[in-house]
Amino acid sequence: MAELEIDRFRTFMDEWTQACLGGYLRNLKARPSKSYQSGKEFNDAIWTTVVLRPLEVLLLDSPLLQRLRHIRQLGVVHLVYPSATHTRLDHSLGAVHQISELIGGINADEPLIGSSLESLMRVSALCHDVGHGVMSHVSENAVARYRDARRVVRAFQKEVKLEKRKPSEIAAYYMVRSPAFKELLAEAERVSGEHKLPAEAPNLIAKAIIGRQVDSDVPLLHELISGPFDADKLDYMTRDARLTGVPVVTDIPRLVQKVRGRRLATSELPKELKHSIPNETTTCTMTGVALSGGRTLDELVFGHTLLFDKIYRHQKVRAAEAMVAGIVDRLEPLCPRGVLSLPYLLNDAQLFELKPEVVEEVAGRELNESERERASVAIDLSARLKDRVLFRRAYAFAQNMPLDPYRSDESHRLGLVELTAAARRPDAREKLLPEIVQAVGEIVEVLDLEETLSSIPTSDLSPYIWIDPPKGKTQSNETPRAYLISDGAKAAPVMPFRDEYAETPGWSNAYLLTRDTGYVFTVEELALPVYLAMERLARRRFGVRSPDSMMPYAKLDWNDVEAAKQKLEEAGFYSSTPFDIRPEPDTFAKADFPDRLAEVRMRLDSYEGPVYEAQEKKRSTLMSESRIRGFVRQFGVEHSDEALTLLQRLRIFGRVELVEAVRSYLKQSEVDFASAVPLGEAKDSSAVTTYYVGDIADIKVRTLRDALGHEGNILFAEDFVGSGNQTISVLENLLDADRTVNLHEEREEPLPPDVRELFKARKLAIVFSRGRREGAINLEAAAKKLGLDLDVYLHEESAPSAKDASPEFLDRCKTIGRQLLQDENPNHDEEWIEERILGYGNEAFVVAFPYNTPTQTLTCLWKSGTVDGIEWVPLLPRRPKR
Amino acid sequence: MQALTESDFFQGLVASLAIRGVKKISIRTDNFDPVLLAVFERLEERAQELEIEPDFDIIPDPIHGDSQTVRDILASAAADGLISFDNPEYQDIEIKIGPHSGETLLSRDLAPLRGLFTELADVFLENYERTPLT
Repeated sequence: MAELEIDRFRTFMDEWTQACLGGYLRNLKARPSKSYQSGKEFNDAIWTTVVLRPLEVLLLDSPLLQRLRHIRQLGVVHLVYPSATHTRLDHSLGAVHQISELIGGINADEPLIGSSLESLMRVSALCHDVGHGVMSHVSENAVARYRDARRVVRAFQKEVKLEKRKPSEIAAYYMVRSPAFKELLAEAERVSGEHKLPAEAPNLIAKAIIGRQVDSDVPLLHELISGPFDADKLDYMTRDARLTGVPVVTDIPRLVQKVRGRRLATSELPKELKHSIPNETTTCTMTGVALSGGRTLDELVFGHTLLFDKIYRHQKVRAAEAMVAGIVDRLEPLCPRGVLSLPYLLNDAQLFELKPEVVEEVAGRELNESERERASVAIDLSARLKDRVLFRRAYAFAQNMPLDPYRSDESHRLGLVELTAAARRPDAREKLLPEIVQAVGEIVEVLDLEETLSSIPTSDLSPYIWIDPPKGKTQSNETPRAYLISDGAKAAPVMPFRDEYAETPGWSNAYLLTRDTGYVFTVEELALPVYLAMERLARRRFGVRSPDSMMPYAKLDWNDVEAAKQKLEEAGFYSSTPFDIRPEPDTFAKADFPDRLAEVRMRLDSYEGPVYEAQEKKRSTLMSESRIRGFVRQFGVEHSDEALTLLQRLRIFGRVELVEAVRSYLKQSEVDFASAVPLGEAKDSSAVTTYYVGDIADIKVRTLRDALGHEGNILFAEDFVGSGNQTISVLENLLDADRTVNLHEEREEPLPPDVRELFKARKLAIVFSRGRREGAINLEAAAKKLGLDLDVYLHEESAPSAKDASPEFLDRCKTIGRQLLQDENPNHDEEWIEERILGYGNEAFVVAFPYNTPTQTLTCLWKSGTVDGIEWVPLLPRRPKR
Repeated sequence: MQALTESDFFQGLVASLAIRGVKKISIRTDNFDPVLLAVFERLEERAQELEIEPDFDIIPDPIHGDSQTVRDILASAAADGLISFDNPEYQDIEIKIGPHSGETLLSRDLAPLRGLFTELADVFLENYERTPLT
């Protein structure tokens, strides 16, 4: 199928070139041989004077090249940089100037590139952009989204064994190999009397344009047209920068001065180049940049990077390009010869002022009613372009968003990867857009915006919404392919630039890609609805939270967004969507809210929580005000205020409190303690709390066996006691006693019998920083039964609890806790769940430790899961038991 | 036929490698590009049967032997946070997602191609391990 499509495109280009050149060829044929031999000099805004030879003038005068006069070099950039109105023709002349400079540099000491190849390169430079259609890259990027076009590109790439070819290069390749162009060249040679071009010149020009080798004696000659420092780049970088008024650091004259050619034995060539040279060849001409000119190549990359960032990927340029893509979308079904033919059926002026008759010309027939409606959208978009009523940004997304409070969340991070990937897929418009358009329709209705959309000539809003993903492609990959040529006798004659400047592509890509933001563009009137629709889609479908910091990119006012959300919430737009994208509760609008939020943030200052994979990689902290806000919002408008009050009572018990508890016990104890020992396994938090006891100089932190090997009493220190079962379970296991509690946790082997006796003979004490009296009493009783001499000390019984909250709020906490626990393990029966819905023991504690949260704390604070079908994000997640 | 982009291709491959516990890979052109080419060739072999259409090509340059597509894929994956380049020479990459994240990525949009990406990871590792790394 791809072969058929490429044949169809080749045939189209042959016929189109013939149609374009037919009249000119007839005139040319009527002219006598050698009747034009004077050549021309052109004034050029960049290079002052460009000189063309007679044959080149005859080519330039042909309609094939003259049409480039009507194609702007930068497509729509002049809508942003008004002076950037230069054309592909200006650039083509500049490229001839640059090729002349480059060859002059290579031939400076000896004529390494002969006149035949020099002529070939000059003509190649003149014709290198002949395949461009309307608005240059803008239209070719728009058509490249279509499957048919992509198939042609891929079939071509396989045919010529080159990747990354553009439709315009493919078009140029077929144009210059077409019978009509061959005839043009032959006639131009005859009329000018110049016969320097090598045999098979059209094929060689075509090869040079797409970047294939044209001569094995100068194996990198073609790269002067399409390569690391080609004439194309040297002209457009300077021209685009100068005519947009954007300063660029690249010193092109210096680079040209550093271009070198050197005749080398093939044995001296880099190994990869030897592959492309016939075996019998003994010497060849190597082209590159002087070793001392490596920096100029670096500058080339740097300049290129800046141009992409500041001009080619400027957000407003992209917005205008999206509009052109919208026009292409409307015209595509009308193109009888496939979408790839479209750029050649229009010129820039027509596209900027599209009229029904022009659309009919494109279609080659009269339009029916539905086609006329389709065309009316293209005509409307064209009129907006002409009047510079451009699309604007309504939503922005990127992997690295500034001040993104959820950057460490795995689901958010992976969601962004997936959103970006989905937006990059060619079927993004079919897969993502309908959902956005549907949501926008709902929003428009709820917000009563229908009247403001009267300027849109169709009820289908999809042509007015455009997803433009981060590009995700590099721009300067060819430069590392350059070679550095040494003049010295001792040094290696040729070195790959990429070996000497290995870091260059890395930093240039990093510069570009970390700034590369995805946008959703739309018309001014739809900006707010599109933002709200995208926010919901990103959250619901990809788990992506849209940080407030991205709102300025969309130039939306936060208050307008909130007001719209309130109306949408009432209309049910946010039902079954996560709370964090719903309107903010009234509590957040009160004057005291920032103070309350700051207080909670301060309380949580020492909280570290479990470190997850994503957080570990990012080295970021878990807690932030956004996270607290997000947690509170999950309680809905009705309960947010009490949820915030609850957090204002939250206590983090850490090192200070634990050491204080131990000191307090030691003060009242009648005996001294020599050792502090972690109770349980190395995985338990006891390892952390016992480390804290080391702050007390008189006590040494030891393992249990080590402590039993030393004289003296043994102390355990724990953060919290609930039912006491956890500690009882550890002690029963150590002594291999009958189990009275089974927590289904993995335990190490019990102590050997002789060590058990040693353990029982010791004076023991366990200090709890906080907890429940009943738990301490349970533990004391169990220890007695086990034959242990254990003091149990509970430093502070009181811990903040949510129990005195309003019954309505507690009911909500119970509902949430119940759903989260039901979510966890289907084997848990109702009774088990009911005993834990407000935290294990239902004491509704509002406490945490810097390193973890006890299960006795209110369940909704630490348990993740699903509530009412929506993901619940706990504020203080616990490390799950494994 | 569903189009498969460069992003999809490498995202699925990285996810599969992460699940295998792969953390670091050398990307020296001489070695890495042929390995990724072998993976791409397997993708092409399987495309028809899986009703997918790769949207890109990996074709090493006839003269320089490297692939711009490979460099684009890597740069894009770094921007997407899937991998990072080791400074200062950008010759090694670190996979920035772990097995759990790999599982997550292969359980959503790419879920129908999970088997394919497992196979592609096999091809990658087989070729990568055979390649003498410099």
